[in-house]
Amino acid sequence: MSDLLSAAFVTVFIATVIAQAMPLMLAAVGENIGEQAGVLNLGIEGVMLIGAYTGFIVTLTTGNFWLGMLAGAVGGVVGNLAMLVLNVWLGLNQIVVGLAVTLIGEGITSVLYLQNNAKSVTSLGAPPEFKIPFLADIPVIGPALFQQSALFWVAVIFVIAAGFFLSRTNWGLSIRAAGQKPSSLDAAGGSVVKIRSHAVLLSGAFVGLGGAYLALITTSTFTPFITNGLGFIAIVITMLSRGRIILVAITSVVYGLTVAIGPALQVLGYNVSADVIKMIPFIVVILTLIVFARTSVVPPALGTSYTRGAR
Amino acid sequence: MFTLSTAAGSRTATRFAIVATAGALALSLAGCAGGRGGDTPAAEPSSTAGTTVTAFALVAPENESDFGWNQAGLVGAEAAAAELGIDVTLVPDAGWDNAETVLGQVIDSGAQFVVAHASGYGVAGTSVARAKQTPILIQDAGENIPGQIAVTKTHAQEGGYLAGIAAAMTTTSNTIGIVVSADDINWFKMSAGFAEGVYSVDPSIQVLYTSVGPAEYADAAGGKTATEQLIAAGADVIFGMGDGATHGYLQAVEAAPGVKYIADIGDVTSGLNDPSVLLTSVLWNYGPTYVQAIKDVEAGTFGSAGYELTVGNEGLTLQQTDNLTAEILAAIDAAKAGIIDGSIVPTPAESADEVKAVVAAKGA
Repeated sequence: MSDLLSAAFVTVFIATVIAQAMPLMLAAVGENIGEQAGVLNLGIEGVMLIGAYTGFIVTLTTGNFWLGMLAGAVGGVVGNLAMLVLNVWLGLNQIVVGLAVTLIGEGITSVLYLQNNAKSVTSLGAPPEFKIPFLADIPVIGPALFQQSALFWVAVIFVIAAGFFLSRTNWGLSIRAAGQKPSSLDAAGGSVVKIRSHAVLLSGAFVGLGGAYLALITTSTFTPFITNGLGFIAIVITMLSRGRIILVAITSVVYGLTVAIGPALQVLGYNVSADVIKMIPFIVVILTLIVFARTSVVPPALGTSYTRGAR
Repeated sequence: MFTLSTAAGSRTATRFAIVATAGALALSLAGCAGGRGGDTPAAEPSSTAGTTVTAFALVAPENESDFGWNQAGLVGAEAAAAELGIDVTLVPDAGWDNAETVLGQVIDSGAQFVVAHASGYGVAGTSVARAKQTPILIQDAGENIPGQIAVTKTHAQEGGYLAGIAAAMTTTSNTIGIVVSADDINWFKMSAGFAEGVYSVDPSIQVLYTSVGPAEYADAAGGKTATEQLIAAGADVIFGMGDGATHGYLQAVEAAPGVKYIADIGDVTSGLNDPSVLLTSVLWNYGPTYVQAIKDVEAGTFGSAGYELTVGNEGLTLQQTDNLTAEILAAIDAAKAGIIDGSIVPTPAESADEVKAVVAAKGA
């Protein structure tokens, strides 16, 4: 079957790895921002679905992928409002509220899809390609990497910007302080609630973007429960990445690789069972957890509400 | 020492009590199971003999947007109702968790015959049919029970064989892809039959087989990924089987110029921006089966035998499209005649390994 391993096949394989990695990367960056501020968002799966559906419906209606991505981000922010109000402002249990948000997101998007879109054409087609001169002409890698939608590059810029702002700016320092030792931030004159609010809203935008990327670019359509557990994998990746966006990016690409390798091996003629194919990403996640469990570090104030003066 | 031995004795007594309780539970459970299993369904009288059916119902786990299994059942029920001039209650999106309740509710609402349109509804259907003394048609597996239960089975390999001929006569790259979204016996049958149909035209054609996962019926993203890789490997005709995953297959096919798609069970035309990419679909026509089942209910013979969807009884047909040329249609008709007269017997594969063996045999 080596004759099947053509340049075109490798190109599609690389493009598939990226297409699978990007939604996870965006969602994990969003989760990272929230967790660095001390807010554990277990509702990420539901928020991703809300972002995916809003992005899908706006793109389907307008035909504009940029508007769809923007709508996905807005949808993510709206989805995270429950986390903002109930967790940050009212100090309710983050785990309970997060799980509720996941269930709400799954339910609302499924009902809306079945009511509005289930019996009609839901194909979004492909977004316009953005070909980078010269680089796009590199064999194999060029078409896979440098002939992507411009949305891909914008997403990459967002991820880099998030990493920069989190690690190199006073704003990022405030975010991390809100998760590391909120009382110190408070004593220094910062508002923990305000900083956490910013973080939760920005987190929602990234998670929503991840959902929209999944629907608009990776799948080109929306189906109920399209995230298929991706949000929970984003939580694992966030905890393993110790707040470093570069590690989020690397582990997301590794995930994309594990998703893409299954069908590729089958097409190339290797006798791999469907069960093994589906297990590969999760086996890798579990192995990573086992190997790096000792090095995973979460902010000390993660999951706890902050009340000024409370001991 | 006294304290220790008392504690040890107490622990032993506790363990004995637990073992005794567990044993009693196991015995009572076995007794219950034996009681159910010991029933003699055939001895129960048919509760419906001589009944005139004026209303029936179909309960399906999802809706027609899957372009497949659920769509075929719902369309078939509507067709049967129209043909017989009776009422039908369609219950799509019934899910999997509460089948027994839903089946009971449609009977309570007046349905004199029910189609439990999912292989996963078999146990619930049998239970409800017995409790409500109402005939229920179940799918794929189970025992026929006179007056109560009949099973529908599909010779999917026959439809796959015909589609394989159409694919082989359409491909220009000499590479054809099969993608399934789950380990489903009907899809194994159809895949094996499809590969044999391809090889019957030209054994040199390369058939590639890939699965999205063991039960990824609705994984559109995974479906798109798998299909893109088949196309990248050179396949210019894709035979896709997969409920909601079909959305992903269609995205990949529509994005690849020159690639044709073969659907299964239902009509995917409404899900395509460009319907010309559709080569054909292996349609499962449940209408005649439902009509026959209702007539059997009225005659009091329901459950004395099961029902089959075959090429011979028009339960399996290929969807007509402009891409099926006269030459292709002639070859399909010839193969259809061979299947009906028994000179062509496609392999009813029941596992992925059997499908892969058929693919590897290249028609030998």
